[in-house]
Amino acid sequence: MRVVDSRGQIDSNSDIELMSRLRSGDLQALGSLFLRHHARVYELCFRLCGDSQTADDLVQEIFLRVLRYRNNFAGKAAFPTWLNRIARNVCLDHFAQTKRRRSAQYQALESLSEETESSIDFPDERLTFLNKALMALPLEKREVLVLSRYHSLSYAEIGKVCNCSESAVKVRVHRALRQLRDLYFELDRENDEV
Amino acid sequence: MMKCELASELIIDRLTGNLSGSEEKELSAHLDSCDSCREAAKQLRTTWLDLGRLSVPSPRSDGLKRLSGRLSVGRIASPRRVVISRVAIAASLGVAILIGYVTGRTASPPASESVAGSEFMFLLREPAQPLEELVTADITEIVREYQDWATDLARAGQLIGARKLADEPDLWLVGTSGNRSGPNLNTWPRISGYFVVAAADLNAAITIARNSPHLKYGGAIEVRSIDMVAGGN
Repeated sequence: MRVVDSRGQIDSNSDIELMSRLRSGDLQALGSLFLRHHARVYELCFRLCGDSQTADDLVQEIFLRVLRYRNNFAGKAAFPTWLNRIARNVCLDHFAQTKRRRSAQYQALESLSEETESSIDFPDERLTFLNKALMALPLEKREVLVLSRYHSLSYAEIGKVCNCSESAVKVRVHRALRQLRDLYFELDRENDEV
Repeated sequence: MMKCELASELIIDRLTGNLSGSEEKELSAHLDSCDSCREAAKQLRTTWLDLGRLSVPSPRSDGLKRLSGRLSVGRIASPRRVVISRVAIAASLGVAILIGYVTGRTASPPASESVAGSEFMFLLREPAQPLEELVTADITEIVREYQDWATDLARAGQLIGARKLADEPDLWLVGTSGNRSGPNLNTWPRISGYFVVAAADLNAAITIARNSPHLKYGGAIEVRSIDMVAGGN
């Protein structure tokens, strides 16, 4: 059996085997799972919250919950699906905690003219606007679009993460992408007029 | 003939990889004959592709170390008092070694720069027998003790390496034919992990080992000098 070594080599055991070891008290398995999955989880958090520091903090909380709820993982769902579900719940909790202070942030397009919390700048102005438009989508639309575009999940798989039906996911993805498209090409038209 | 409303849906399903072969044919036929849907498909595709150009900054490089730090303050440990068992010892040892691994990678000087010239291996053996009926304590405190010990070693430049062995039955190969034997072979007390430390001499190494919480909780530590001539630095 290989374990995480000084070169950062990742444990060759499967996710299910690592979770089994974690359940038996082997916390080194948590380190292996972290090294294997944290970058993908971080990306999901960043896409949802738009801030790198917050995303880093959320990743920490996600893996603490993996440890806390390790006995709830029965292996019925794939580990990444289970992990995504935890990540989503952690993000929802984060948004709920900050909602009072920043309630307007997630109310769609009205906030576009305001400063968003995205901590990244793009060299292309159009991409900057697209990113702001993405961040301005309501969370329920943004999360399905992110899981579809950046994690290549099917509607059914997204439904398992978001605890909703495949058809509901499909509708949300359609609406989200159309909304983005409308904003994106409206910007183009405005630039043309200028 | 497909209606534009349905085509609008299938255009997105195609982008998201949720389109069947037959739907693809129908959609293509519709787009060939419908200018407005073709324009819509072009715009949606551009939006989809540009979404893929939205990069993400890298996560912090010390994420694992931070996670270990969170473990050290016991935020995930059950607040209730639990009975010490081999599992608890193994978990605590795991935390200590995880910390030792992380801090050893990032904080400890190389062995050649260590505070002492000799190296010793601590083979940490499990408690002689399960302690369920003997002692109760807060698991958070046990974890913290193990972790503090490992962290102090790393900060002092004395920690060279650490690993926890898997909680699996022993497997021995014996005899000239290397026959598999065990787990019935009496190998107690099992080795559950090891540390390699730098110390001035054997007495200093013994002092370090005696400070380990492993002894306090019923484990045993075998201290062995590493032969620095045969394969050492």
